[in-house]
Amino acid sequence: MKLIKKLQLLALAIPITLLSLPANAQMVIKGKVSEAKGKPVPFATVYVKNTISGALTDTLGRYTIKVNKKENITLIATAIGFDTASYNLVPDTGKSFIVNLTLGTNSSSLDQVTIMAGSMEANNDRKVAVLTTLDIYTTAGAAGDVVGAIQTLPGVEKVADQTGLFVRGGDASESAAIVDGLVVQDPFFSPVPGVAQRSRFGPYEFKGISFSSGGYSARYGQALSGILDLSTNDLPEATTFNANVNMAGVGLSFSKLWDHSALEGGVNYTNTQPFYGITKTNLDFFQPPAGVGGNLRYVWTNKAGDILKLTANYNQYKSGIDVVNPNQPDTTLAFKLQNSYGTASLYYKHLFNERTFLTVATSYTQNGDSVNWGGEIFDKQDKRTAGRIELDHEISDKVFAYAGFELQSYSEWQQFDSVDISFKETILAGYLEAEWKPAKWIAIKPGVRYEYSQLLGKSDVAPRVSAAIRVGKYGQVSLAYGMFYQDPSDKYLLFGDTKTNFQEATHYIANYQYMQNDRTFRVEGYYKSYNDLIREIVPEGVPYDPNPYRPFFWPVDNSGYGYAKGVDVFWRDKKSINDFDYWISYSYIDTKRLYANYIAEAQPDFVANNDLNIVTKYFFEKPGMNVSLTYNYASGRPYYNPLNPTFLGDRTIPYQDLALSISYLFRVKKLFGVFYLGIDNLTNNKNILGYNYSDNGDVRYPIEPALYRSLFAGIFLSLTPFKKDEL
Amino acid sequence: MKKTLIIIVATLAILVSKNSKAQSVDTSLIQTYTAFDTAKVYPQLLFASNQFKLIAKQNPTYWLANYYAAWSIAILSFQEPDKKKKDPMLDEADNFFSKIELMDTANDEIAVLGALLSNARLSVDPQSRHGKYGKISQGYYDQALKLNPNNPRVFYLQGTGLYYTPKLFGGGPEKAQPLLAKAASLFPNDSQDIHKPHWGKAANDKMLKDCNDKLKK
Repeated sequence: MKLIKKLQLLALAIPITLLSLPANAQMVIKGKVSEAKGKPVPFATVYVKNTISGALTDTLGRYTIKVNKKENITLIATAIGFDTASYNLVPDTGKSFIVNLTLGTNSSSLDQVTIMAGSMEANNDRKVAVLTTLDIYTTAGAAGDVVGAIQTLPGVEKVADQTGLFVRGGDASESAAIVDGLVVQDPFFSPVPGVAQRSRFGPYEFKGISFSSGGYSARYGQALSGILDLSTNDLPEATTFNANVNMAGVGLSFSKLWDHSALEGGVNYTNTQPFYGITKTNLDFFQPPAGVGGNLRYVWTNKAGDILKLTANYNQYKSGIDVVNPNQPDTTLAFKLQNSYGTASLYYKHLFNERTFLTVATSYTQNGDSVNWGGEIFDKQDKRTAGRIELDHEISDKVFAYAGFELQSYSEWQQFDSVDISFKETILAGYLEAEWKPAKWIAIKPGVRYEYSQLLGKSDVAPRVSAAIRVGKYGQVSLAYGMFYQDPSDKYLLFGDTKTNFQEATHYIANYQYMQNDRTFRVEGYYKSYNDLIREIVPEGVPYDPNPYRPFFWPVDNSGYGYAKGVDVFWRDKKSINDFDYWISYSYIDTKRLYANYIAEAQPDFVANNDLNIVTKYFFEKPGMNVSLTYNYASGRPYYNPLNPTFLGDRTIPYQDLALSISYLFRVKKLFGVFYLGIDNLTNNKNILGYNYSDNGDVRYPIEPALYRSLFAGIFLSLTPFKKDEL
Repeated sequence: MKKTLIIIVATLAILVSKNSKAQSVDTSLIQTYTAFDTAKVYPQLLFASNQFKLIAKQNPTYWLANYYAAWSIAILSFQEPDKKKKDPMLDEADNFFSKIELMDTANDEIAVLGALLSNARLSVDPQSRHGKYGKISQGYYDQALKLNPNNPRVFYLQGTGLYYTPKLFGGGPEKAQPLLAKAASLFPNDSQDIHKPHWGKAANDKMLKDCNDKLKK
């Protein structure tokens, strides 16, 4: 800062003019360069077109140019962050002229307004991202799982006994995970009653992570609540070999990099015995999850920027846990699971020119579960073929548009006892969306999506629109509106009742964001209405069954409905303390719905009204160690008490969790390593997730998470040095 | 004889007039280079850099004019105090650079400039950009060394990069020192001709001294 002051003083004292000039027939042009509002622009360049005669403005925006006299002269002024201004001067007989120039703010570079309503981005390239991908990996409590880190953002519920992404009052089936534009079948490991499973997304696979808690683009559909949009890495950085040993198994991986292509692959053996061996668990893991997996990936690119990605993954595992018997909560039942999962995908992007590109992507996934639940055998198989083709075109500096088609064909088959059921659904969608920036301070993005369901025999048209307006130098307001349609969830399709219509949600979102110098503040308010939700027609007199794993469902119709409204607040500060970074997210939600087998409109049992996350990180330069602490608080969640006349009227005690993670970097000769240690629920807080009641309602049994305090540790070794962003 | 003389004089006249434009551009470049090289404060650097840009705009097909415009912006971007301005500055530099990259692919100095621009991008946000731009710089180093294994600027840039990389990530003064020393041994071979870029010696000397001081401790 001191230097800058000095520089400014110097510039004030001597406005600098051209280096050397011949002295014959000269004229002097003087003037001032200012912004539209009249503020002077220092250090702007003013020059005479088609010559090398130019000058720099001083701190008061003043300049002086001496130039050989000509019949007419075009004067041009430029400065970073501004549009270029020009002035045609026709000199009379005089020798000196005054030309003042006004610069308009540049719409294409600095301070560009970006639509942000509903979405949070972790990205390394874009300047607007709230998080980088690095942040995802170094968050305590996330356990290296992308979804684990997303759960520290506002609007997301962390539900310890259910699997999936719960967004703003929506259940797990109402959010979708997308990789390179394609919907992922079974993004989480197969659900186990009472134990939340992690996502299948490894920590280093993605270059960009965009999470939308509503109001998302017309590109996507079939998710009433939100989407997690992931972009896989391009070429790896180097040829390397890695090994990973931890309390849940071992993994080996390699990448071989050529000039324009690369091959990557890995194998892993998972055995969680060491982890469960030392952890005191509330459920008996008589067969801790164990299995094998492998993946292979080929990436090709050329100088023009075309890119091809081919990926194949296979994974199988088995597990066995004693879970609470939903019919007799004082007893347990053995739950044994065998799962195999395979997926293959292709992604290709072709650039026709700087303004136009085409993306083609397709994938196939097959998943099989074999469950033995207290002696009952359930076999399940599901498949998905997904495809997308999209053309993106920058029509002008102000308009960017894209249009595409999407195909999703998925099926499921299930057998237990003598029941053998299946369904096959094909959804075709087309969309068109454009982002228009009519002025520097405003952006508008209208879009529309059309979907046709073969199974339901119905179609829908979903309009979406979002906009952003700059307010002040660092702030902006974004708005979003959209209609979202979704098929009934798989379990209802499976039971054959396809006379239903799409379920529908309408989102209204308003967002204010202030971002300056590594400090971000955002607050977002929303209102959502749910219509045509799938509701079971429960016969009169049949009591409510709270078990989400019920094997049978009643016939359904579209008479369900509901709403959700709330406020999300996010604050992040990387600036105030050196090497220290923290963010605080807080969500308040008010939601009720009548759907599934609910007997009255109520707040669902996976929703807490207040949710607070505090994530802190400190990097010790010496000895090269990252320490992170995450605190999560969620107010009590509803649970079903058969004796309470208000349906789902009871609340549990608040949920609290303090997690710690440490990663320590070390080096042994050519080998680079990271030792990592994570402790979840450091204080061993006895959280209670709800209650199960005995048949007559006299006795209640607390539902405990599978684990209280737990410890996880491992070592990651690499033959190439770690980048700081891989920590 | 008389006829021959006329032809010679005419030819010379044509040659001189043809060269005079190139010469005047080169004269401008030499003057501006001197101004840039001796600039002591930011406005002087900025002014000289602007001058390079004007020369390049006047001579869009002359690689050297584009070279100095891009180079001066890169150097300037390291000193720009406002972080938000750095990327737009480097976008401008890339415009000049992309022109010369198409003109001549067999010039080691153009590859070195590519590495310098990539390093400038990296330094805007080292933590998150190390992966992408580290790789791009390495590509340019390899290309430059293939064309000229004794280009001192390659070793200077590599050494500087390592100097600022923490030990744990494979950098540090020990790693940087041999490269900076090698650069120092090669700089005296530089020509002082404006057509042959010869920047970096003073900065390398200073970096090598800092490096040696740190290693002594």
